[in-house]
Amino acid sequence: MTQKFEQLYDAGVKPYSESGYLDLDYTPGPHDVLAAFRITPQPNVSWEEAAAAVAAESSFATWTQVWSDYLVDGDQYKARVYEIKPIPGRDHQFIAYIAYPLDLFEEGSLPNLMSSLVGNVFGFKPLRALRLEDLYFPPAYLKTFQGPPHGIQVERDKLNKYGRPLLGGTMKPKLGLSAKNYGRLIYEALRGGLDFTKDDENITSQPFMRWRDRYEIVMEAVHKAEAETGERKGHYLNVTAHTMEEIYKRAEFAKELGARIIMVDYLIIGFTAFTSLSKWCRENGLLLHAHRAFHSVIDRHPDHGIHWRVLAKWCRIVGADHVHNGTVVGKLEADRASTIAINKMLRDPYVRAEDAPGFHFDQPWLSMPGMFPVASGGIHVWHMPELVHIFGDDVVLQFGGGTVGHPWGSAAGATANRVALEAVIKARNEGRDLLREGRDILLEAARHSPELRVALETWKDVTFDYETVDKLVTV
Amino acid sequence: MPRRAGTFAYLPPLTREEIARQVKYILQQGWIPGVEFAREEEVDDDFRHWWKLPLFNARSVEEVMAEVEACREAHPDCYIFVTGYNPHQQHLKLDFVAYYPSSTSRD
Repeated sequence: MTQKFEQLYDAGVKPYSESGYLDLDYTPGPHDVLAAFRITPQPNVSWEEAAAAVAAESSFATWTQVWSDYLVDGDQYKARVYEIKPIPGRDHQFIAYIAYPLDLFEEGSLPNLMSSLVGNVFGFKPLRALRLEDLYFPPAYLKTFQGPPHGIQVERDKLNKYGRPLLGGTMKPKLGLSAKNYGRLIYEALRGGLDFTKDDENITSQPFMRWRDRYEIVMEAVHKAEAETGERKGHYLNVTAHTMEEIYKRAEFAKELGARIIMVDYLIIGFTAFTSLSKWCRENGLLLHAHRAFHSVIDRHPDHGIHWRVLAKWCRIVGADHVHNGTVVGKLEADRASTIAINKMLRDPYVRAEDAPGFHFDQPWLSMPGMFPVASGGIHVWHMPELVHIFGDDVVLQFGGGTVGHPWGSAAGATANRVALEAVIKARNEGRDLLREGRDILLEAARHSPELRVALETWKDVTFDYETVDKLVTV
Repeated sequence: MPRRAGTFAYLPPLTREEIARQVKYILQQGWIPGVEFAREEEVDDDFRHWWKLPLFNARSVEEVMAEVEACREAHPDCYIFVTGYNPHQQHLKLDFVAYYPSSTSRD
């Protein structure tokens, strides 16, 4: 039976901006998680109210006052908007900086962080659009994650390869090859000089090639190419599957066959499965290559979703040894400055926002290892000088079409790429200007490599010059 | 055919002048140069043989080149490697074959 009373607490709806979620005088504490959101409010919603709503809905609040709020010290859990910045040239949107108390989050759980920060708030009606642009992990929180299973230095030691980018290639055609034909392709590319070959992201265990057949014959190809060249090599066996049990089963078999590396579509399997697999790889000594299939669904729209730099940061924090980033010069979308900044974020021990265009926060990585960015998609030998100039040594350059598409076949394609790469590194170390002299360096190298000469002839006119859809915005 | 090894495994053998230019780069970067040697069957081992220790005190290209030549003279049948170690990153940054065994010829 309900009794009738006077009002017992401050019930009803209060503006978020008057409920403790907007505090422009607040100075973030050393343990706060910081987020930069690009907010596009509905026309009749003020910037302050929209920003406070994001802070509230991604942390402590619901839409109305509730009596049980009084049982909790809200100050411990409320996120606060501490700064609002306009975006030049885009009057209808702004950047809001929000500080989240560390108590909101479970240690080492990216899924938990995501449920708050990129959860229901993205469908909140007073916002036309919302995009997470950057996220700062304070040291106390960062240390609850382990990051890449091995990292750049351990990977180089495992492979015994130093002083140059690693060279990979995705095998084509993407789908339809039988296991034996596929193994032949891999053997050819590896014996020709690639360090790595790669499964396509959508190869799992289809009827034309079941995973067990593929793994066995691929590892035979890897071992044969290793014996012939005297170099250590790897093939990224894709373990992406529909259940975690199946993922483990495939990973275990790869290990049994002596694989050095496996791969997974980390956004497709989700962050829980990705975390599990990352830990498995550290336990079992296998390198982990992360493919970013699905990212463009989340990150390509400039106003809504999650920027790629955040998805990439999550990849380092949860932990892979490789992740695909842009090529700048190849066939896939990416802003140049943004791609270079994300490479820094993936590799460096400390990233300053002022040196990394697009980032809003300095991020110390403490002792967390760096990981290899992977540049893949529409690149060929002519790009080599610029790729080395942009990416430096700690990168995996993947030439798929640029290897298999060589007129003399994959082995020659691989040799052409390897000769070009080493010639460019040697020239750089000698102090030559790669951008100005790149062409001469390649032509000189081709004098002792017929494979390179033919590759240069084949791809002399190929470029991908389209405007970037998601342009870098500076605040 | 000789084993593929080191940073410049797919380039023709370097000339003395080319080796010296890479050594210069190592010193310019502030890295520690080193000389190592390996028999054919040891080339891809995790541990090759050091010539002395990494050359912590070397400051000039010629000092390093003298050690490379001395190592080659003492071990003519070995692969002679030059390495560059970055003590701040605590990692090897360059690792190339300076000389192949005198008995092998590169095609």
